[in-house]
Amino acid sequence: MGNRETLAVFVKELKVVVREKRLLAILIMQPIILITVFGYAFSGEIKNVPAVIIDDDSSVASKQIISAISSTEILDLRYFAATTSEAVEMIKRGDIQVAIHIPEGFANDVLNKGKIEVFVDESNFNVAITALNLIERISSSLSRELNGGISVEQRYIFTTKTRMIDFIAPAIIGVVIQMLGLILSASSIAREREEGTLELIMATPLRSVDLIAGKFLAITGIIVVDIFNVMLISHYLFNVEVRGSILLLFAVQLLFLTGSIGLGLAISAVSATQLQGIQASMLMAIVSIFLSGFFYPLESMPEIARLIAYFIPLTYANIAFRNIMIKGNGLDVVYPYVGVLVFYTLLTTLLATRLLRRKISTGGGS
Amino acid sequence: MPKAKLVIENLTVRYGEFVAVNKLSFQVKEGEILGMLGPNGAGKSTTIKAILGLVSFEGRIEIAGEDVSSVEVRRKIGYMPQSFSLYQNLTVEENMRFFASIYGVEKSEMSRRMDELLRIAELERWKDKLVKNLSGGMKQRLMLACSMIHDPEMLILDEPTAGVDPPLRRAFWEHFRDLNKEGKTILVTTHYMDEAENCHRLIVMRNGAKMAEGNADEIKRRALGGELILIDSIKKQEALRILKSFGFNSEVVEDKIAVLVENSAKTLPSVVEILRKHNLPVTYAETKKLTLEDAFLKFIGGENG
Repeated sequence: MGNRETLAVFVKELKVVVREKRLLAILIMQPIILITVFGYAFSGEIKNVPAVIIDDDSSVASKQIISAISSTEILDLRYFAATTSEAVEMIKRGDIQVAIHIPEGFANDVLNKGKIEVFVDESNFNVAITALNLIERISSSLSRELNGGISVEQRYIFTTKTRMIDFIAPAIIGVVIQMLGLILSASSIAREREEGTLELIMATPLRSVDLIAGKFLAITGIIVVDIFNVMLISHYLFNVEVRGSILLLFAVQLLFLTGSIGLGLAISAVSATQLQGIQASMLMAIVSIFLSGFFYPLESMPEIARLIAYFIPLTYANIAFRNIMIKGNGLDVVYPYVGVLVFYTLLTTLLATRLLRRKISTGGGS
Repeated sequence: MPKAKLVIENLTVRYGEFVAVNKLSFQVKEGEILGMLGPNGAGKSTTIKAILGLVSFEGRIEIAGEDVSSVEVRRKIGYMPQSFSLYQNLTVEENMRFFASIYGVEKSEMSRRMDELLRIAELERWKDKLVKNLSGGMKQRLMLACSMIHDPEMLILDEPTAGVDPPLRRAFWEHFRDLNKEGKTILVTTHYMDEAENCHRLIVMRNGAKMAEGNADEIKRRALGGELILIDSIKKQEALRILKSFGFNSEVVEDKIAVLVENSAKTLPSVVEILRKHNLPVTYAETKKLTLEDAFLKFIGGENG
């Protein structure tokens, strides 16, 4: 007993949602639209990347390189720095993203083996690669002209600075999980109540655990598709990297999803209609988006907003996702946030089971 | 005497302050069709919900000797609710398969059972249709089929023929009688008196309490406290005086003398005999048939009882 009933509920739930064409369209399209819009808004074309030059050579050759670089629109040579350490500081501060160092004696060496050092901001991978490619191209064409050989040395500067899209993409996944998880589960029990099928299945020997498990699996299945869509688009279209473990990321996403579905089921157990369930969960989702540090890091939010944020599970999910995706951290770093999410998930699933069971089996006396 | 299939003792159901069912006790015997009659709000559906464990209650409910607090006991019941409630976005067959699965019907048994019910419900041609595209009558037939998918010992039907056209109503009741002959115990609520006449026994409910119980004839008798004889004689007042002196509860109603007796068929000859002995020839005599509807209205407080 148990598995078969759960499977029956799972299959039924999937069919019902898949045949609800409008609901399905929203479920699939919403995350795709979300990541695409934010992606284009916050990643942008790579153009006018602020850069600095350290020209220790001041030769004809170095001037040639500088003028070749400034004739492109990709790099914007805004500053001249005296030392490389100064330039590295500027990258770390976020003033610039690329520093090009032409060492002393470059013009002399250029005929056999001149070298250019390029410092790039590692966190902004996309920009780094574009800038490096540009400089490689310029130096190789110059090499041909001068019949020499110029090598480009890459230097990666590790900063905590990220592009807006790198920062937002993990949070979009969090929002999709929370919003769709809530809506789908909140409407699922309420829909059965409205159509009268809840009463009918409550009159069967189906246990509430099997009912919840079946619904949970079906909703998870649908939202995992959404998660994959968002991850694939953000990676292949906007070069958002997952620097940490993909498996850990997926595990934490599933954990947060479980919690959201639990909350949705609990909401739907106490709301009278499908609409009420959806409205309540929309409210939850919107408040969460604004106060969970979706757009700005928690540290830069006003005191009161930050206090509220600590009570929003999405906050912890976002921090965990960002830590894994941007900083490449492992469980050793994210465990406090994961711990909060485990607590949240246990709480909501327990609440959902209790609330639904009270509705389902209210047998005499006991 | 057959065993009781369903025992309800001192059932009380409250919705907050409101008492929907008040200390209700009755039994459904194995193999019988028991009808519940009562106006809307009498507590019929609430009683059914209590049996199915859909509301919390005080009192005791047992099915085949087993307390209904056990989930397993629900395997013994097939339930057809008042309003249509199946999955609109699933096909006929998918709905049946779903209910078969959650009732735990064996895989080997399932197809045979589904084929049989599809045939009986005359839904074979429509088995791949989405339920939302079916007509009202088909939906009703599918509901009945789904409630029987696990071959339950007892059927609980809450107004199974509400909104059903007369030919289908007749077909439904023929089917219920067939099921009953096969040994199924049936508890059914209805508003139709002709349907109630089909039940072995009836319960009349009002304001959450039982007003009367028995077969249709017993219910009718109890509505008046007996049965009626209508009689007329050439000297009406004289005849009335004599009947009263013999202890008959009688009075003039319209242009006849109405006599309330326990059993009209048995008593009529002696009434005629008494009047004849007093030289009051009887010019008219009839055992008045009370309809079930009259009795029902009387019990639930209607005017023309």
